[in-house]
Amino acid sequence: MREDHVGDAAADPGVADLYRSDHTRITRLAYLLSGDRSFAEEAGQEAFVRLLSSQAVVREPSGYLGRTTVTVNLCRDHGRRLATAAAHPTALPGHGPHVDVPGQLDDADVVMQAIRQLPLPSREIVVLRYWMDLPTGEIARLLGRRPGTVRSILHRAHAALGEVLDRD
Amino acid sequence: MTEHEWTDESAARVRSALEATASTLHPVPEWDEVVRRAAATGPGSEPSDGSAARRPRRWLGAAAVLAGAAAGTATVVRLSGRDDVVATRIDSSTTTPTTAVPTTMVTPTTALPPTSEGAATEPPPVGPPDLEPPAAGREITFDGIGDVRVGQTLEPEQVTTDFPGSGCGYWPDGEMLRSADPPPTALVDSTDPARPTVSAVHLRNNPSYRTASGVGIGTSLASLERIYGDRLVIDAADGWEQPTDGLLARYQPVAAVRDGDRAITYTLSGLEDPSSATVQAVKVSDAAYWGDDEGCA
Repeated sequence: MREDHVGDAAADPGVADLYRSDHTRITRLAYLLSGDRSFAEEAGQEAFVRLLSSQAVVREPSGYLGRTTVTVNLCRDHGRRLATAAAHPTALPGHGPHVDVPGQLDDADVVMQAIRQLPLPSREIVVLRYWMDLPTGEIARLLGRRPGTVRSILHRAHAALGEVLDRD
Repeated sequence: MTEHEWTDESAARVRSALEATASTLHPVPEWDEVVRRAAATGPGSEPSDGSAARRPRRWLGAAAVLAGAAAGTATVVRLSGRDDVVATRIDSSTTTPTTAVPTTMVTPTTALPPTSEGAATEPPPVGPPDLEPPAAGREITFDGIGDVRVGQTLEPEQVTTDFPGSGCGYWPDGEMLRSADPPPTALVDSTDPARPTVSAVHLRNNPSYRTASGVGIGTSLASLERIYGDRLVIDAADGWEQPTDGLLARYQPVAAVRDGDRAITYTLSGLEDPSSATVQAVKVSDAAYWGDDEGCA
């Protein structure tokens, strides 16, 4: 039964095409949220594994909303695990966020460092707003938050990022 | 220090930085591996973090309704507005991919142990009443609380905000909330600064405001179950860091009822011991925003 369902979805060329067209975008979204390349590549796979196994592909053929939400949640889980590992260094030996080694920092590096220092809820909203170009209402729906709360968090993120942008 | 003025150029620099970073990643698609793992995982299985298990949702069943009905009857005063007698059950399934499984809530026991004759006793602390008819002008309905109505338009100078320009504010200010008889407060959508609008009405620390059924601060969970029956949805707190299931992040357990496009949310003291859970706060809002919200956080 389980394998039949997955097999049916997997045999649908539209689903496979969806994976090929969106896999890169979803993986990059996970990278922007987590800052961890190896985790992002795993999350890019896991998001689709969950969709196939949960039949969400059948319910929502475009998969857009579902995949984005799954990716955001995977990154939240990852952040919690890292926080646990930081509090208990022996819990996850050898795991940690990927840090790009900067050479000569250019503007994008400086801005990206500032984005990575935002709290995760702010980072989520900044990435969804400025990389995925989603309006705040859509972000609120994705994250299950009040639109006013999203605007408020975004406003504070602007203030935090503005300190870096103003240094130039 | 002046606050940075966010401009189109600011947004462009952020977009450019994000795209530059994202484009450094070139993942290799492995469709066969996805299919293999999905087949091994299967439909309906729990995510590896067990998050679904941490957010129990209890739809109250008919058994709880009948048990509650046997425990007593509520004082019901019909109001002319949208009172809570006509409440309907909130349907949260429209925004969540997970399926809420109907379960029967453990019906709280309401009887208090009798005090032994002659034993040394201290008088129990006097708390707010469980059920009590509303006083004139102090009704909680699906339209609002007291004089404050969802959708009501305010004057811009009435609204206070911690974050100017955020589109979110409060009314009235904190001083009034510290009074001996604190009024209901409004969460205000001031996206249009010239025409701020009440998006939700909150009530805390004032048990004198009541629904037509007598519900207010201090009402027990058992009474909520008895009055609303299977229209009541109880949702445990899952907090900021928990993956959302389509509702708002919740810090407190809540019980809520719906009437059309509006909902009344009762914030509960806790669910560890349902028999002692009581209403701590009340919120009237659009049905889409039921739950324990974060205000302008």
